[in-house]
Amino acid sequence: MGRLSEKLENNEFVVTAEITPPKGIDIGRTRNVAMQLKEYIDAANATDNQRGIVRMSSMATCHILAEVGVEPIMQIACTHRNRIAIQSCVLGAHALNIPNLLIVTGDHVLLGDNPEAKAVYDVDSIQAIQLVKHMCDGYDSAGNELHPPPRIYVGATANPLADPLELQALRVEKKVEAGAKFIQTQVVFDVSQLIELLDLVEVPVHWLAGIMPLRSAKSARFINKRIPGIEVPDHIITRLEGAKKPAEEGVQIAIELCQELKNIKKISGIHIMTIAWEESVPLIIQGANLR
Amino acid sequence: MIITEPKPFEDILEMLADVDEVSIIGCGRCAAASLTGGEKQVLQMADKLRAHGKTIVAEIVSDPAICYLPRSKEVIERLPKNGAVLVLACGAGAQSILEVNPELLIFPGTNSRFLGMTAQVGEYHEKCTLCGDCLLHLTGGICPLTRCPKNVLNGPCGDCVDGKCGISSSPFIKEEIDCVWALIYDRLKKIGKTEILSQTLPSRNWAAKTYKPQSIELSEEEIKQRGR
Repeated sequence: MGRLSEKLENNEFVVTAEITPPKGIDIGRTRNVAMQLKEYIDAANATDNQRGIVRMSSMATCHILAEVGVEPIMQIACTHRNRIAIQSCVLGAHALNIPNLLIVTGDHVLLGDNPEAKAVYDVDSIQAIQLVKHMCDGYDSAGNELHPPPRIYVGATANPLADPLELQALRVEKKVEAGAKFIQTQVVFDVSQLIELLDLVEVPVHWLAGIMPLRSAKSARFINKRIPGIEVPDHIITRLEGAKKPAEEGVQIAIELCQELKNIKKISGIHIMTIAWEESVPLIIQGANLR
Repeated sequence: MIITEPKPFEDILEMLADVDEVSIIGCGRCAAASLTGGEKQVLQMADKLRAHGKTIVAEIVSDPAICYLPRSKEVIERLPKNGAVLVLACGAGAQSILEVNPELLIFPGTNSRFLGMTAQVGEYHEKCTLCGDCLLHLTGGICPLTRCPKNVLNGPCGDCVDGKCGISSSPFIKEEIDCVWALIYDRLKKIGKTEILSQTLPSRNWAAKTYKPQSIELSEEEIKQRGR
């Protein structure tokens, strides 16, 4: 198993970041970004055609991360994979030294750049997590033996902003029961909302709080309009608007949130999502003294 | 019922470009309710095609539904023995005609959209995906497979904010859509059954649905048992 699982299981604080796979074949940038982030993070997520936008596969991107010494977390979205494809990805992950998975239901194709594609959603995220656990126990979804079975550390997501919150909490519990060991939350701007969710969840799990630095008030408004499940509060938009250097202000806001979050007892780590602005990750980590 | 929409008239003209004589058959059940294949729509279609130089050989509305062959067969047999027929009914209706008379050339005049409900004349809502294994008793009588764009069976996903579905952010969606899991939760609270939600619903068995085409053929004995 990898460094992420080792540290989490030893109750050490972790930092992860999201690396967006290239739109095209520019693996040079991915490699450079990974090398820049390497000394700051414990593992990096490679997203799986997030927001329904066609990009390089998460598996290939994870392979590049592993090559340069960044521990990968391979995201699997149920949007475009049926249970057969999910299982072959899990087996493939093992072959490419990918020790972690993050399973998400996935953004709908209608929100992406190929809205005419047929969405799959054969299984939902909870069922997919069950499926991976079943594989690790030695069987595929139809009960056929896998020998030897894969070993992989599985994570899932939760959104403190989504409602009804008690159902989100129930879903986290179902994910943990299904086999998820860690939860990377959706982007948090309001820490009290996250605490509310943490308090509702009655099973132990490693929580990594989601952070997103914003480049400008304009990008904050775009997120509010077009990305479901994230809401940038007005006071943050006002701060970005009033700033001479909005990108620096965005990083500063992220730093302040990290400082607040790292003092919460139930939080095991920070997960930084940047939408292709990975260069901001070291600034946030240094600024918040996460390393 | 099967909710249909009319094909654009230009598309119909294009598919009938090489056809001078055409019959029109509508369906007095679902298509009539969809305002696509009832008597008025068949007459209107005939007038419009005549205005474009077509000869209308027959104008028929079947009631019983075209797809119920035990009773519709004799209606379908009233169509000419061969030639073109424009069908103002769902795809099942159109193909049922071919079962009765394989000589006819079928032209679809509608697009079949979904299995749904007519709330009032002109207002239709999808209600069922024909999954083959109904679970409404577990979801307060509201179908998540039909109404959740992500088919989430253990919902809601993290995109549900203020009871609205995240897909509402898509430029393709004109109005905000209610999250079906928020509706299911409200309903289960109302009937005092929220404890149902503590179980994780397993993944579906699609084997029966993947086998195409699906058919059911009862034996004489089974028909008798069910009651004819």
